[in-house]
Amino acid sequence: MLTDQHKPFFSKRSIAYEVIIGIDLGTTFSATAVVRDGVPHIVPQGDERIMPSVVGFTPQGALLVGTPARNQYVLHPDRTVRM
Amino acid sequence: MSEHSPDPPEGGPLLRRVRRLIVNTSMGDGPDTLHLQERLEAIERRLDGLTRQIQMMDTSEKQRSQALQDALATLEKQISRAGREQLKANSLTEAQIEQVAAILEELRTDNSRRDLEITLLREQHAAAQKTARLEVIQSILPALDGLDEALRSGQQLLKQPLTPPPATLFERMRSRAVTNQNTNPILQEALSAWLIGLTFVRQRLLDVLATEGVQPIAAQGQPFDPQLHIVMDVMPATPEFPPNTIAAELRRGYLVGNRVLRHAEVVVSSTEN
Repeated sequence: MLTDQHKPFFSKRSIAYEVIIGIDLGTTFSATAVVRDGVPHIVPQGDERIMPSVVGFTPQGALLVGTPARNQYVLHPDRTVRM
Repeated sequence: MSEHSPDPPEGGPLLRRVRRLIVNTSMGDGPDTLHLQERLEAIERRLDGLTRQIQMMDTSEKQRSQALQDALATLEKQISRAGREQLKANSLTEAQIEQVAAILEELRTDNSRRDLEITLLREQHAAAQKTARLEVIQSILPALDGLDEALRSGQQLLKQPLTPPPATLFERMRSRAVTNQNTNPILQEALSAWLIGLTFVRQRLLDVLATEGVQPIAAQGQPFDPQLHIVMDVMPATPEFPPNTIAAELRRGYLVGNRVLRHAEVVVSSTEN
């Protein structure tokens, strides 16, 4: 029996029901989740369920969020913000 | 002659004409007249018999017709009943066909749903297998790091120049206290051979990982990429290492396809400090 758990996130049906996203903005890591059928589901970012709470810009001006921003923090602390 | 005509004759038109002919032609009660009358009476009797037979035949024909009509009515009733039964049977058959079609459609829907579930389960199974293999590979990586570190230390040891053997007792005692000194060329050759063997072991392990799609991340001398490398330290830029270039690799990183299995920990040159 196919259940809603087998359906991908952000399907047309989900969009029709106005998906509400919860964000846990932690001091070290952050996570986003949606509630479906009364059960919270973490929305993965690539392969990671949580991401470092770091945001930065490369010298070329590209926005980095999460792990890539953390990776450059030592090199570009003036271009990177941690919680 | 018309006044001698008898009472209206009985029988059909032919008998009336014959009787009229006898009356007209016979004027008395002669033998011929009597003979003719007897014959006429015989004919009349025969005609009566025929008439009765015809009446009987009519009656029989009516009875047969009635029987046929009854049989026909019975047949009509049977046909009507059979028609109604056929109609019921047709309706029942149509209902059964509709039920079978509905069941078939439901089975097809279930089948397609199960196909989808099987596909999803296979995808989940493949993803679980992939995750498990990556976990195993990640558990192997520290051993590979140990091999890299052993090779690095061995190479550093080999690079040290040979020192002459201690001549005096004091120098021999001092050489025992000082470590990391190459005093024996035979030992140095053995160390070199051992490092070569260790290199083969490392390469074999890397080949096994390569069959699983695991590739080392190029780091030394490459421009820094925050998607692949983690900056652990920063050093001033030099002509050999211009700004934003990886000057040293502290721990090797690995890729599985386009996915980063482990980021490479590096030292990057910079002019900002």
